[in-house]
Amino acid sequence: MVSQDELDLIERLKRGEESAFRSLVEQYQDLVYNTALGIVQNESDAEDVAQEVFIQVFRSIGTFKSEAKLSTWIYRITTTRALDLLRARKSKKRFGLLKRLWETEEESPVENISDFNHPGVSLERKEEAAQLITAIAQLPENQKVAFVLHKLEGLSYLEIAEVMGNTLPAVESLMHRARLNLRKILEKKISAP
Amino acid sequence: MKQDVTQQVEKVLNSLDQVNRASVSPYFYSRLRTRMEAGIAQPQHGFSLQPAFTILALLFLFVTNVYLLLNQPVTQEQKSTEVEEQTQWKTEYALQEVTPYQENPIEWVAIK
Repeated sequence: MVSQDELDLIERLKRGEESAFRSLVEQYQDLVYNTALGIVQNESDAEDVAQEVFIQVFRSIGTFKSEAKLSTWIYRITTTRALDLLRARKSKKRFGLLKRLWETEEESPVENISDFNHPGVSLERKEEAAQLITAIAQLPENQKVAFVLHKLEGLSYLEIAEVMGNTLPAVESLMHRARLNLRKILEKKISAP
Repeated sequence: MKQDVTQQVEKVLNSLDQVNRASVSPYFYSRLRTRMEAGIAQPQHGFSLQPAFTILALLFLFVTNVYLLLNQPVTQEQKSTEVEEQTQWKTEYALQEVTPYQENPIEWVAIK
């Protein structure tokens, strides 16, 4: 159920009030950034995604129907944008060899996702969290999104279902498969000498 | 040994429990406004004319051209144009003139 405050904010946004946009950004910036960070696993890419999300919200607020919560809509845009970036990164890697022949050292930044550490993890869990984050990166897209929304954003399965446009049983199954896959990846990694 | 691995896996799987939400770096809104005003709101990671793309596109065009050239079907019109050109060429270089041999072969042999 959409609250009255949210409806007012949406109305002000539709009228193009800058103060409303500022208020929206301040309210949702960490939600967007944290979600994007969990998926793209790179701080500057996550900020880039966050900016694109707010630009898209600004441009398409006119089409937003207040049937769903604003946060659900924003989560949906964020996950879509973050996955787009991952796909672009993958296709960039495919042309990596050709590009390396062409580009100079400075032009091709070295992306090292395995070095990524989530800033919200406590020091004593840092090592394990880094292993988990590396494993999350290997999950299929929809499992990755569901797991990140659940673990990093603390969304319930029902909320994840709303964001992903799925049914609750579908999300439960997605999470189950995500855990199985993560277990497999981690077991392989931990038992390797 | 296997129990140790299972325990370790569980520990890793639970390592993101109670994680704090990451925050954007300061002045995010200012950077966002700057980007919006600069009009570079379009995603920067879409298709771009990187050298690799350019090379591939050129290679594709080259291969397509070679293929089309080699597999070009000869039409009736092209055939008649070719014949016409040959005739013109013959006329221009007087190739249709009758040689003395062709005129009177017996006399030609006698002279020789």
